[in-house]
Amino acid sequence: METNKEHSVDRLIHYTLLTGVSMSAVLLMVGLFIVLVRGTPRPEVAPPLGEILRLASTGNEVSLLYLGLLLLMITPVALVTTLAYGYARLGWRRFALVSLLVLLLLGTGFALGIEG
Amino acid sequence: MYLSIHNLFWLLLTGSAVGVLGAILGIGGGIFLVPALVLIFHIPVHHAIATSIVSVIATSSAVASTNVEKGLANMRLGMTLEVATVLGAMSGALTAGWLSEATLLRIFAVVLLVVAVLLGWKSSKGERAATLNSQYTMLDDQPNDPGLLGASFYDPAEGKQISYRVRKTPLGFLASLVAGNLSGLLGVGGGFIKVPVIHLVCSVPMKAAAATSNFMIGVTAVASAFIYFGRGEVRPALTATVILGVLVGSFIGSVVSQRLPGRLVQAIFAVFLLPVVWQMFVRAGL
Repeated sequence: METNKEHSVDRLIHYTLLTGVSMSAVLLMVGLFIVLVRGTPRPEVAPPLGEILRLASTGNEVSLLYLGLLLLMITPVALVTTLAYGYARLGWRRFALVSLLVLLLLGTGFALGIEG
Repeated sequence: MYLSIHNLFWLLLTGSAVGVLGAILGIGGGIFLVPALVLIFHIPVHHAIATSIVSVIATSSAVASTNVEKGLANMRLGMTLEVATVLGAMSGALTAGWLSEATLLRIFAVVLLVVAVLLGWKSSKGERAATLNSQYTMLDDQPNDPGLLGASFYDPAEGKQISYRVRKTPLGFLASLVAGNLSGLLGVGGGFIKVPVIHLVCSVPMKAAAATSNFMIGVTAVASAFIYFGRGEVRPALTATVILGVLVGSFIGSVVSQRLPGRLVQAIFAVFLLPVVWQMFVRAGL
């Protein structure tokens, strides 16, 4: 197994993780700040999933928090997707398929969450 | 919980303390975070677990980005074992929804007791533990062919490239299933099972084993996080505050841990965890 070729995949993964966590942290900090400033009582009720992005763009603090959390949760999904792409690009079909299998399982978890 | 400045401060402090502890003790923060949220802030255990599982994603992703860049995390091995871990995590999260708060608290208390015993054992092993846990352990001569799942990394402490071959993958698979199940059920990372198995059974050097486990934990956690999120158990303000605290604490802990006597800290916390275990049982109604 030519592990040297993995370095290009390593860099992709590094930036994927760093970007996801950083963007999520910024959204969470902004959301928390607005919650405190506005004194939002018990900001625990989730807006509809399809509305979160639209409401967050208007500065709705609860939606900003949910968007930050969703972005954080999507980061490992992006990691697995990037890995599948990276391995496919390297011609490592077996590991690309394993990554896609993990992605499928994560999708199942997401579907179970939606149903819940 | 209504988020006031007062609550925000104490939650941030708790999250930071958990992050510091996790970095110093080499155990994920979830094992400390859930009891802290339940016992100090009186958060219902299902919500505490949901908060913890999302926090685990944050810390794992932050640390993994560094480990991946250094070439420490074996992503091929991680993805292979991840199939089992994710399955275990989803089953754990689904099971948690059916269990009562008291049952979850009792299960958590038992796992916490096991962690306390492991910490005590590690701290008492002395030089042998230091050799086993703080340096890589080559169980084979440097293999010419690392095989399909093997890899190599540069160890600055040894000043050379270390290559290794992965063995007994089916056992690693089984351990990953168990670790994933505990992760989804209790909101912990599961590294306290995965790291010893990947290192001792699969023959992966300790540094690579810890990095690979950490890499896996975030992906494992997200599988169950979706389920907790769907059940409405992820409280956004609480979770956001804890995450920010844990991220800061992990950074501080990674700096401080290099200056602290690891064995002494492990011993102190092994003892400290015992009354926490007791309190969890008491909260569960014994």
